[in-house]
Amino acid sequence: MGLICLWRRPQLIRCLLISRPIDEDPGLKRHVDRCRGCSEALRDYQCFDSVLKSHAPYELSSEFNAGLARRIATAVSLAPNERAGARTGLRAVSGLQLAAGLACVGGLILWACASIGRSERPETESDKGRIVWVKSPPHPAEKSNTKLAGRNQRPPSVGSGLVEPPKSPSLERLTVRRLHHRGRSMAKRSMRIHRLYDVHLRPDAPVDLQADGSAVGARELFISLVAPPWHETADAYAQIGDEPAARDAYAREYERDGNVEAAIRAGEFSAAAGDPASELQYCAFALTANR
Amino acid sequence: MQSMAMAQPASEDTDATLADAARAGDTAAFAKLVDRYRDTAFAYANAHVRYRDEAEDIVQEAFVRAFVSLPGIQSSRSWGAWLMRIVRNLCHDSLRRHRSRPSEPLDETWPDDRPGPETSLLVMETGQEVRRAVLDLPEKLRIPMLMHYAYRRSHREIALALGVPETTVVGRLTTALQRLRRRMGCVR
Repeated sequence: MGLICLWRRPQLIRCLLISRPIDEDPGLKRHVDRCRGCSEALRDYQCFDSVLKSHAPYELSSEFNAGLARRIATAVSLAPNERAGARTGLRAVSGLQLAAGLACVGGLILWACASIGRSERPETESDKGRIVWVKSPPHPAEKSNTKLAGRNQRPPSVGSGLVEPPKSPSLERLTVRRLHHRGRSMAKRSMRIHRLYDVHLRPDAPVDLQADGSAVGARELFISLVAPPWHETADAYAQIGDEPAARDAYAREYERDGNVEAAIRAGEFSAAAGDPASELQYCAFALTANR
Repeated sequence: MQSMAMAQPASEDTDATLADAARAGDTAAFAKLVDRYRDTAFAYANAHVRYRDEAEDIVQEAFVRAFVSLPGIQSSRSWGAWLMRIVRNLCHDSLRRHRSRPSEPLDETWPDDRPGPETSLLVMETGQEVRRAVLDLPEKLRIPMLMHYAYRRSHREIALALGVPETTVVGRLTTALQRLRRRMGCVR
């Protein structure tokens, strides 16, 4: 079947459907005369048309009107009661749905209250090992004054690089929770990148501060691009109380940038981690660099 | 009975006029509306549910609902379309209720299987095959085919019943005939 036939066949059927003779369309007539396929199709469609129309049209039964009149009369006589019943039913259904909806909302409120109560309950002995006071990111100017915020250590005062406790206790808790959450998520990300770094790049030996950072390969370059700066990573570790990791992170920053402050912080975290030898080593590096 | 649906000469009352009169309590006006639309509604219902008694019941129920709801309708201009919407909804409800119904009998869908005096045996045999093929078409094509051939509804009436434009009806009929020819293949 050619393209012209594809175009002409629906026209043939439309002529048949609207009972229009094909002769009225000279182009169609000429095509049907020339094309054997289309003339056969026309005969088929005419055959279908005649076969399908070979019956008398379907008609309604003679009792339709009488039955309809009876039903309308019944409906009109019952309409007020039925409508009242329907309204009552609707109210009953609506009442049920409303009750179910209220129960759901009440349950949600109770659940929310319970979860808030759980999170705001007083600190217990078992919580002490898990709750970590959150330290804000240190401002560059305050870096030198910042002190290590150890596990469960509360912020001492304003201006020390730690979060100022809000006046309202609830606001304080909220702020602490938010900061805690932010620190945790950042630490998680850092840990992921660190793990990648540990697996692929970090040597088994302790961090070699004499190593030339520029000699590190493309993979570390990639990690350095996707990872947060080392001091931020160290802060994140410090916020969750992982002093050895914080020490390593500051050591990395010193290794890369030669930042004396980083060496000092690494020493501080070594002390916090209970490693006085590393503390001395980092302090020595800091002194050497100053000289 | 020749339907008068959608064919409203200027001398005749329009749907809006009749519906307004019926709303004011003129039962004769409502009877005219029934006479105008019942065949189209029945054609659609029977083509859809394929049971004559049930189709008549659906059409009666649709008219009863329309009558009861007359005081509440906003605009009586498209009364026919509104009635057909009721019929369509009732048909869908009916099919949903009887989803597990077995295959429908042929003689409930086509008007009369007995051939007329001028019908030859060949045409009769062929007719049975063609009708079976029509019933096997998808619903979208089957209903307009049945309304057009079994109930002799015009394209405008089919369009009104289906709630689609008239051109869509012609297109569906064209597609249905093409599929029918492909299905029958050797039928002449």
